[in-house]
Amino acid sequence: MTKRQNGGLQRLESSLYILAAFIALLGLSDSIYLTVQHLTGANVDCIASADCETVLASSYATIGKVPLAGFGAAAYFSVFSMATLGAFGRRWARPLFLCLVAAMLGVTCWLLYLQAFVLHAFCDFCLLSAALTAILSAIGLAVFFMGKRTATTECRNR
Amino acid sequence: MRAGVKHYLPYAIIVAVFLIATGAGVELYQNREQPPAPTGKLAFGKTGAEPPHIRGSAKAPVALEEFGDFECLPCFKLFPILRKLKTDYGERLSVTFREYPLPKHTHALDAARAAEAAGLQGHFWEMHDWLYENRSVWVSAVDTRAALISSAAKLGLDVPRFQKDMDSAEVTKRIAADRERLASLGLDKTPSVFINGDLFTTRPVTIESLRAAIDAALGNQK
Repeated sequence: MTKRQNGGLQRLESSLYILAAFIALLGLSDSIYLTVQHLTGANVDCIASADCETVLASSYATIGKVPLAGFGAAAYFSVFSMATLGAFGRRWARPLFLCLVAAMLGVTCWLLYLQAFVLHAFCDFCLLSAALTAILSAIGLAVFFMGKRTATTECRNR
Repeated sequence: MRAGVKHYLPYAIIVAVFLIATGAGVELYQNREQPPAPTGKLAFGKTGAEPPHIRGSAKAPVALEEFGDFECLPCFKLFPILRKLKTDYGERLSVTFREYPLPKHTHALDAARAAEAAGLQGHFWEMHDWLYENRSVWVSAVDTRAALISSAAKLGLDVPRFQKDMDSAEVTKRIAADRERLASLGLDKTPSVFINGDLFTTRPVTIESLRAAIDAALGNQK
C-alpha cells in the first residue's frame, strides 16, 4: 500500500469519526429528552408503541434515583467527544472511542433483551437509541480494522 | 497561529456542544415545569360520575380529586404517593379518583371499565390498587381482558357479573361523565389533581409538593 492509499484511508477514517459524532449528537438529544421527561414526571409521547411507559416505569429504567437515560446522555457525549478528537487526528482517542462504543453495545443488547423477554414491551426512544448504537458499533468496527490496516502499512512504508 | 487554532478547535467544539446540550436540557426541564393550566378555583365544571369513588370521608377538611389513567406512567408514579399521604393524613384527607383513560393508551379504557365494574360490586379501590400494583402484568398481557377478569377472580368478585358489567351502559356512562368533568374544566391530561377545588400545578408532582399543598389547605381552615 502506497502513502497515497494510506492517506486515503486516514481521510476515510476521519469521515467516519465525523459521521459518528453526528450520530452521537442524535443519541444525546434522545437521552436528554428521556432524562428530562423522567425528572419532570411528564408523559413520554411514543409514536409507534403504546408500551413506552411500561419500559420507562420499570425498575430497570433507573439506577438508584438516576434515570438510565442520564447515563446514556453521558455516554453519547463521551462518544461525541472522542469522535471529534479522532476526526481531528488525535490517535489516542481511538481506543477510548472503541471501548465506549463496545460498552454501549453491550448495555444496548442487555436492554433489548429486557424489553423483549422480561418486560414484553418496547419503547420507541429506547429502540432509536439501540439503532444509533448499532450504527456507532458498525463505525467502530470499521475504524478498528482501518486502524489495524493503517498501522500495518505504516510499518511497511518505513 | 493556524496550528494553535487546529489544536484547540476540537476541544472548543466539545465544550460548545456540552454547553448547548446542558442549556437545552435545562430549557426543556423548565418548560415542562410550567403549569399545564392557570391556577385558581377550577372545580366548577360538570359533576362527573355519581357517586364518585372517595377514599376517606367526604367531609374531610381536604379533598383531593385525581383524574387518572391506569396505564399512564405519571399516574402510576402518583399512586404510591397518594396512598402514603392518605395514610399520613388519615381522616383529614379524602382522595377521589375519576376516570380519564387516554385514547393513546390502548389498554387504559379496559382497565377503567374493570375498575368501574368492580366498583359496581363495591370493590373499586381494591381493583384500583391492583391495577396500579400490577400495571406491567395487564399492560403487557397478550389478552388484557383475560388478565383483568383473572384479577377479578383473585379479588373475590362475582366474575360473570364483572364480565357483564365491564361492557355495561352504566360503566360506559360513568367513564364518560368523569371525562366530561375534566373536559369541562378545560383539561385533557393525566394525572390532573385538584386540592379543595384548586388545580395542583406544581411539576414534578412529588410527595413533598403535595404535602405542602395539603398543609396549606389545612392551614387555611384553621
